[in-house]
Amino acid sequence: MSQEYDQLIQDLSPKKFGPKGKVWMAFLIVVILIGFYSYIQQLDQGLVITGMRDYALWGVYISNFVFFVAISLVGSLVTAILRLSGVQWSTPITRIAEIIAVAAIIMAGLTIIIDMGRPDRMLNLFIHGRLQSPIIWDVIVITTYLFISILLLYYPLLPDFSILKKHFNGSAKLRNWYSRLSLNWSGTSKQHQIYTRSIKVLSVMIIPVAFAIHTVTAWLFETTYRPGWDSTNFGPYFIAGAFVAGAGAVVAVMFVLRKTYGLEHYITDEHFDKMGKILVLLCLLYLYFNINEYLIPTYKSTEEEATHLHSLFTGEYAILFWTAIIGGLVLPVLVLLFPKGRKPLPLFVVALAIVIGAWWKRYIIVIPTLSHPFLPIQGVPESWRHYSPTWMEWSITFATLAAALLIITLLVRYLPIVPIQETAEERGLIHTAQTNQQS
Amino acid sequence: MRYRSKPRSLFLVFLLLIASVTVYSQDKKYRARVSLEHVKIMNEQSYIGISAKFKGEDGFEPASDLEFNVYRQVNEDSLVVLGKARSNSEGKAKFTLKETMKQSDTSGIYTYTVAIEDNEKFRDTDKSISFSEANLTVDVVTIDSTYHITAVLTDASGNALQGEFLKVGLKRLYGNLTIGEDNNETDENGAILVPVRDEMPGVEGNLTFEVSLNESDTYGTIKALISAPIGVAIEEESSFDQRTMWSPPNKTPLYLLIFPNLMILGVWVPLLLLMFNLYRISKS
Repeated sequence: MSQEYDQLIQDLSPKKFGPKGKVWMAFLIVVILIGFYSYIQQLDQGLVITGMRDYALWGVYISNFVFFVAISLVGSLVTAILRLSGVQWSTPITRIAEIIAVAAIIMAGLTIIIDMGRPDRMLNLFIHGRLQSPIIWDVIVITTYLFISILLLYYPLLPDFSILKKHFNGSAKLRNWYSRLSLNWSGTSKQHQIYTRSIKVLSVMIIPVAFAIHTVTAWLFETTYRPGWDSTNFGPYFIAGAFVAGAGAVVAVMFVLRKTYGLEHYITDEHFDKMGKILVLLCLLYLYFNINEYLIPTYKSTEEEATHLHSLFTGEYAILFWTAIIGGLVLPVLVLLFPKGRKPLPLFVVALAIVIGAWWKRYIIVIPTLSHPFLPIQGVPESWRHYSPTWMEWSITFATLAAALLIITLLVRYLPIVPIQETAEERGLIHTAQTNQQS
Repeated sequence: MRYRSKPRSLFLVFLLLIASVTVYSQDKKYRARVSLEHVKIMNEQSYIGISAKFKGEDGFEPASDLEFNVYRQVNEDSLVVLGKARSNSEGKAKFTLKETMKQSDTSGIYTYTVAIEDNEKFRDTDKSISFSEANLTVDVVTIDSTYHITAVLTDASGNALQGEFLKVGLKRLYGNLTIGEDNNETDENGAILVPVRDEMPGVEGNLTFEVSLNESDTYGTIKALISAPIGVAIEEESSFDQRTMWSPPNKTPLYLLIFPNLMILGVWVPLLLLMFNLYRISKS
C-alpha cells in the first residue's frame, strides 16, 4: 500500500472524541434531557403547557419543523444536483450534506409528533388518513424522503466500510461492524455496476422527492386561507429558502469538522470559496422570492394583509423580520461578494447568521399570520391573541435542535466524514493501492 | 325597683328581636308576578300558559323551578284541584287541560286559578283566568288558479264571530312567515280569505299554515293548523354520498386516489429495488 493512500485512510478514518468532543456530547445530552423533562410534562398536562391557544395553534414547534425540513433539502442539493452535474470538487462535502439531511429529516418527523396533543393517536394518521389532506401528503413525503436520504447516505459508504474493515486501527468491535455494514463489498465489476447505477437512480429520485417535501410543507400553509399564506408562490419560495438554510448548515458543519479533525488537506479554502459563491446565488434567489412575497401584498394592501404586513414591517415582529432579512440574507450577500468574505472563518460566521436567520424566518412565516386571521375569533382573552413560547416549549425546541446535532455528531464519530474511496479515486491512489496490495 | 325590672325589660327586648327577625324573614320572600294565557290548538290540545317573574337584585328575573297549583273555579268561592306545573329556566310552565278538566259555569265561561303556595322563596299568591270556548276551522281553496287560506271562527254554539282579527302564517324553521296582512278581520260569517301569492318551498312541497286568534280577551289564543302540498318541493343538495374533498377516506375523489398512489408506487417500487440491490451487492 502506498504511503499516500495509507495516510489518506488514517486521515479520513473515524476518530474517537477528544476532551472537547466529550464536553460537546455532554452538553447536547443535558439540553436533550431538559427538553425531555418538559416533554413529559407536556404528555402529562397536554399542550396547555405551551403558549399555543386558539389563535396561535401552530407555534414554535411547527416553525422548527419547517426549519428542519428546509435543512434536510441540502442532501439533494450537494449530493444529487452537484453529483449529477458532474461537479468533482464537491466530493469531500457530500457525506457531510448527507449526514445533515438524515439528521434533519429524522428530527422533522419527531417534531411533528412533539406538536401533537395526543401522540398516542399518531397511528390514526395512517389508519384514518385522508388523501385529500395535505397533512397526509406531508406524512408520505417525509417518510419517503427519510428512506431515500438513508439510502443515499448508505450506498456511497459501502466501499468506505470495506476499506475500514481492512484498515481501521480502532477497536475490533467497530471493525466488525464495518465488516457487516460493507455487505461483502470487494469492488468487483458487478458490484461496481450495481453500486453506480443505484447511486445514479437515487440521485435522480431524491431531487423531485426533495422538492415535493418542501412544496408540500408550503402547501400546508398555502391551503389554509390566511393573510401571509394565501399565495401561489409559496412552494418555490420555501424551496429557495430551504436551499439557503441547507447550504448555510453545510458550510457551518464543514468549518467545525475541518477544524476539529484537521481536514484542511481535504476540505480546502477552495471548497469554502465555491460554497460561498453558491450561497450568494441562493441568497439572491431567495431575496427575489421574498420581494415577490411581500411587495405585491404591500402594493395591494387589503385590510387583513395590511394589518399582517404592518406587524412585520413596523409592528410587533419588525425587529425579527428585518434581522432575518438583512442579517440573514442581505448582509451575507454583501460579505460573500468579496473573495475575503468567502474565506473559511468569515464564511462560517456568515453561514451561522444565515442558519439563525433561516430559523427566525420560519418563525415569522408561521406566527404573525396566525395572530391576524381573516375572521377574528370572538370571546377569547386578549392574551390569546399574542403568542409567546413558554420556557418548556423553548426547552423542547432546543432539545430537538440538540438532538439533530447529536445525530450529526454520532454519525461523524462512526462514519468517515470525507468519502475515502471517492477521494482516493480522484487523487489516483486506488490503482496504486490495488497494485501494491497485489504485490 | 330597678333591679327587679331588669329581667322583664330584657325579656321584652328578646321578644322584640324574635319578632323583628320573623318579620325580616317574611320580608325576604319575593313577590312573584304571574301571568296566564289560555291557548287552544284545534284538534290537538288546550293548555294554560303560565309565566312568572320577580324583581330581583338585578331587575326582573324569571322565576325558575317554581311550583304552581292549578285549580278550576266551580262556584265563586269553590276551587277544585286539577294538578301542578313547574316553571322552566325561563320562568314558564304549561298546564295541559284535559277534556275531563274542562267545565264552564252556566254562562259558558271557564275560570282557572293558578296559585303559588307554601314556597320558601316566594310569597303566596294566585292569579285567575277566564275565557269562553271558540273554534277555528281552516282550509285551503283554489280561486282563479290561486291558492287561498280560508278560516272560520265560531263560538261554542257554532255562531260566527264577526270583527275578530286573525293572523295567517306559514310555518318555517324559526317561526311563522306572515301571509297577507298582519291582521285579517272576520266578516259576518266569521270568515277570512287570504291569498297565497308566492310559491313557497317546503319539504316534498308540503306547506303548513297556521291561522291564529291571538290573546283575545274573551277567547284567549286559538290556533288552527293545516298542511297542503301546494309548495315547491325542496331538492336536497347533499354531497354526503359523493366523492368530495371533505369526504371520509372511503369516499376520496378518484383522481386523488389514482395519481398520488401512482406517484407513491413510482417512487417506492424503485426504492424497494434499490434495497434489493443491496442484497445483490452482498451476494455478488
